[in-house]
Amino acid sequence: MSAIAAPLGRIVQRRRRGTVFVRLLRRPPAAIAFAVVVLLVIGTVGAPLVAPYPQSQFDFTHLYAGPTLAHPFGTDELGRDMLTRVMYGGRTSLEIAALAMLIAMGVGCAWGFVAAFRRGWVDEILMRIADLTLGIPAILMGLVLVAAFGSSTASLVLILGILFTPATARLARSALLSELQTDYYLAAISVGAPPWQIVVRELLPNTLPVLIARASLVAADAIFVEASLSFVGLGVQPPAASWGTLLQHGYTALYRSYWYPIFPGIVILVAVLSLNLLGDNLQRVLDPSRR
Amino acid sequence: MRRYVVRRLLTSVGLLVLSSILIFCLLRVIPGDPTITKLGGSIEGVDPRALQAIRHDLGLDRSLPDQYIRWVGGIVRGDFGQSYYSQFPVTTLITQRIAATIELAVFAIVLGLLIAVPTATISAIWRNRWFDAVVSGFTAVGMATPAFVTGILLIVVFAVKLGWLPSQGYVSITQHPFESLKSALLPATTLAIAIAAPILRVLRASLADVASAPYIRTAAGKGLLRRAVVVRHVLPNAAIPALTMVGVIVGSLLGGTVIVEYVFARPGLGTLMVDSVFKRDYAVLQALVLLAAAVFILSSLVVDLLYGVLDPRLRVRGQESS
Amino acid sequence: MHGFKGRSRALVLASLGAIAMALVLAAAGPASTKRSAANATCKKQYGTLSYGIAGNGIPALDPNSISSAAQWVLQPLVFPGLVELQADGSVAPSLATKWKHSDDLKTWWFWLRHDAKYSDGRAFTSADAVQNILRVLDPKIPSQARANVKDFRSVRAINKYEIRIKLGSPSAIVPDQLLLVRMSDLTDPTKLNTVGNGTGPYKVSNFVPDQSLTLVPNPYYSGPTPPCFKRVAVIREPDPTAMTTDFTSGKLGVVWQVPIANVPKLESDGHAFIVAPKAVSSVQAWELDTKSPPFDNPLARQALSYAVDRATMVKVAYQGQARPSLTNDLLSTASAGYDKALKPYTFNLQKAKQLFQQAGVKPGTTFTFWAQADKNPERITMAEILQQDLAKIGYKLNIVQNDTSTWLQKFYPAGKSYPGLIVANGLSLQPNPALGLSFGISGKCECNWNNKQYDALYLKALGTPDPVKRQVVYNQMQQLFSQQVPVLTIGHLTNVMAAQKGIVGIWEDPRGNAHLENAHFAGH
Repeated sequence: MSAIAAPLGRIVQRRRRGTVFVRLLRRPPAAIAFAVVVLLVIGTVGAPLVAPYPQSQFDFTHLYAGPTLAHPFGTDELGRDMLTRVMYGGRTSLEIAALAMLIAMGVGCAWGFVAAFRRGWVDEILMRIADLTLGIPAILMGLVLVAAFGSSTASLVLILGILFTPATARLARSALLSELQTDYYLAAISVGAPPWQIVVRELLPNTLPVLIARASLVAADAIFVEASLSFVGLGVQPPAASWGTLLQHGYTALYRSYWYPIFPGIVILVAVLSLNLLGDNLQRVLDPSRR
Repeated sequence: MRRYVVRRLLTSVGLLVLSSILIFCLLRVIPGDPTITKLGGSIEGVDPRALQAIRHDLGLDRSLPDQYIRWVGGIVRGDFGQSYYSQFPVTTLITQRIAATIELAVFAIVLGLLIAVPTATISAIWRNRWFDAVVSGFTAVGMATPAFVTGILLIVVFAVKLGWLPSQGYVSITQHPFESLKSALLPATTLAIAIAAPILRVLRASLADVASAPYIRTAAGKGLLRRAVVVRHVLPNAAIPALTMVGVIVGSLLGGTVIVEYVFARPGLGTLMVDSVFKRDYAVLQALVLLAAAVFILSSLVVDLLYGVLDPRLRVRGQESS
Repeated sequence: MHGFKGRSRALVLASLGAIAMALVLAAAGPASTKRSAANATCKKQYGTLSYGIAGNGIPALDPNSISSAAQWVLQPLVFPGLVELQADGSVAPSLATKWKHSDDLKTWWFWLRHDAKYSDGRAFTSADAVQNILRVLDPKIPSQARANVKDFRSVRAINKYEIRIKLGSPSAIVPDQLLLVRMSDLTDPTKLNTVGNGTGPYKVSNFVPDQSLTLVPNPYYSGPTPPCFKRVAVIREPDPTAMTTDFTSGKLGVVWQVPIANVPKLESDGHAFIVAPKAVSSVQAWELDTKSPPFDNPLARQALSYAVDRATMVKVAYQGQARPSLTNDLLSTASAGYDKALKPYTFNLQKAKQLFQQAGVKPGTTFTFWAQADKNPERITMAEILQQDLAKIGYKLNIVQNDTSTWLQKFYPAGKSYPGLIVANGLSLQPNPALGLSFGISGKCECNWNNKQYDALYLKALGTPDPVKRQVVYNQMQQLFSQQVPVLTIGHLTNVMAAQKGIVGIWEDPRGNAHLENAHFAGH
């Protein structure tokens, strides 16, 4: 048991949230990214409270208007205020990305861990299923799944979740696998500790850095994929909008009003960048070897 | 080892068959019908007999297993069927476009690895805060920037502003090798950035992981040069997760080229694939999926075998479990 | 995963790029919309015309069984018919030089050109004409031309250059009915879609389906519109914005179906000319299933017609590039056959609510606006206006966009049941009023209207040679259609085309199709 005492202590220390959080915010990029994410969450989730206009207020006298004081982001093809649209659109985008990420991480990790821990034929079957779905190009799977399930918010969450699960499973498997090779695991086994207990209490927490990196990737990719499906008109349906559908509408009118796609585009970039930065820094803070 | 390889090859063939069945059924389950799509654009008041005749000609009135067996039978004879729309053989449609895609993919992977591996290695050896910051900046931006933005940026700067490189089109590599590479440079760079960022990220994370492992610390403690430790011990061990990443990327490149082919208007397989989905051009799509799955399965097979070479412990386990 | 970041392309930088390109290359000016008068010959064949289309490419070549609107441009270029459409919507001699009919309008004779040849050098004769018409009549061959010629009882070659057509019931407009029948080489039917051998001024030299099509002059051509370009390249662009960008950067000479939103700026930049045919015959139509509730009740259809604010929709979505169809008419106000006495459906939500309630459609009912994804953003703009208006009187509209295959399968072909759906569609009707109105006859319209009275009026119109008397029948058809609302017509519009300065002779027909057969570079 003494073999695992040291790492255990490390973990206990790491689990203290306050410390992690404070250490995270001590990194300037992480602090900025965190502030941006908080701002985005307030602006999008709190849209009904902070948006300057009602959600879909038409103004046929101001179609495709450029940025002004009254409409800092301009207006769209129906004269709606773009700032308001971007705020409400973010609610949809972030909601879809977050839920899809939870599905992909939850199912994917369970899938990968079981495969890594059981090895043998269970591993073989689980990984070959992952290969099977990974072998079909993601864009094709996406289009086929949208044709099958439609493009409501709920089905988009499901589709994105399905899309990102197999790759997550593979990563989770290889992460746990390399933990299973570590000396302290082998040592712990050799002194007779029950393997599953070590796995759950020691090894899984150690895979966190890799998985958190993956989670931030999935969330970022989910925002992109949603935007891409929107681009072929297969995103959320009006009157709802997402950053992706706003970007697509803007792209259509690009030549007419170049500012239209700029704002949804910037918001997507900023959101994805911040998510990536947060994930990156969180990984470093959590990773004992990087302290 | 040989038994392992044989077994792995057999599973690969099985997987190929399974994915062909999967996509074959999936396509026919989702809404949409190629015969209707073919006519619906412009023909009003079509006679139901006409639709029936086409369905019969295409064999779509047969049962699913029957259709599948006929399709597989055709493949065995080298006949992949023909497009329901253009009536060109699928093999013609693919050969018209495959060279453009392969050129782009190979070019992009080589460029992507040339960016990722040296950068990650240098940052592990050098351990400079500022260099690290620049590298994480690159990976963050590289991953946060969709390929279409990168592509359009490159077009604006190098093709429109500076006029150094062509922005659009494709030149056959067998006819004009230099011109061909020149026309592929911008799209390949676009794709390479998208490829390099995730590899770089994973490679750096695992380099850091491995570098802190006890046996590396021991090696360093024995007074070995940091550079030597990194290159000889850390890199091979850290390469394993990155290799998975490369495998995934190579395997999904057919999907990855779609965007880039679009941005740079290159007539490749990605574009063909998206068109066939929208039109439910089953025969074309089935052949493309088979091709994509074969590439993917092959690349993951190679990765798995390389695992064994890079990490002897896995090889031993592989033998034990077989 | 990268696969997805794709299709989408725009963004900040794209806009910067587009602006930069627009500034650099804002040289182009309006080209002539007129058909260059004589155009008998060009000095010599010169240059390449790059013609851009967006979204759908050219999937196949068979001119009598087309599957994409992008194929129409090839009809006058590669596959002339016996007659050809004019800018005013009438038909003019082409491979047929003249025709006559019997007094009872049931037998027609057509005389063919003696010098017409396919692009492989084979002479075009009456046997080819008969073969092509008979193929179109074969119910097993799906053809866009069949509905118009269904009544042909016999088609026969009298001699090498004369054919005779016998009809089941009289028709005064057989040349118009023959417009969509194109003449291609039927020697080997398996090559129809891949080779494309016609008698037009150009022939196919290279064809990559859905990607590119290259035309070169047909050396055996001796007709009225000799080829003036060394090459015509039909280039498929991934989307309309990319097409616009490539046009403003000068890569494309002519583009078709320019996004409406871009038109004002293209005009003010001096790039575009907007084609306005004398008689617009294409229409934005929302189809309803008239055989299933709630729209099996004419009152419910009228209610919807009152709830649709056509004037605002057309103004907002089409930016003045269309005329609202206030009277719910297949014919546009500019059509020769338009009935000026029709009563308009003036936008009136209270009346709509009242009519819905009379029809037993309770408030709270949900309708579905069924549209194609990635095509015609204008339709979605209009749907959003309807969505808000319907909400004001307690009805719900779900907007659902799907890929073309899913979209079509729900309502096409005629005879399908799709209760509660409002199918957004665009119809490219023939400019001849009788043929335009024929969209409403039984078995043709996906609305499943099947109105016997309307069918009878159609036959009566065909058999009425006197234009004044025929107009009376047209008016009766329009009144019936307008009052019954089997289809909601929203507005009449054309496809906007743009051409670089220096390319002349391009025009667009009333159906919205591009005509490049007379085009050439100014001065060549």
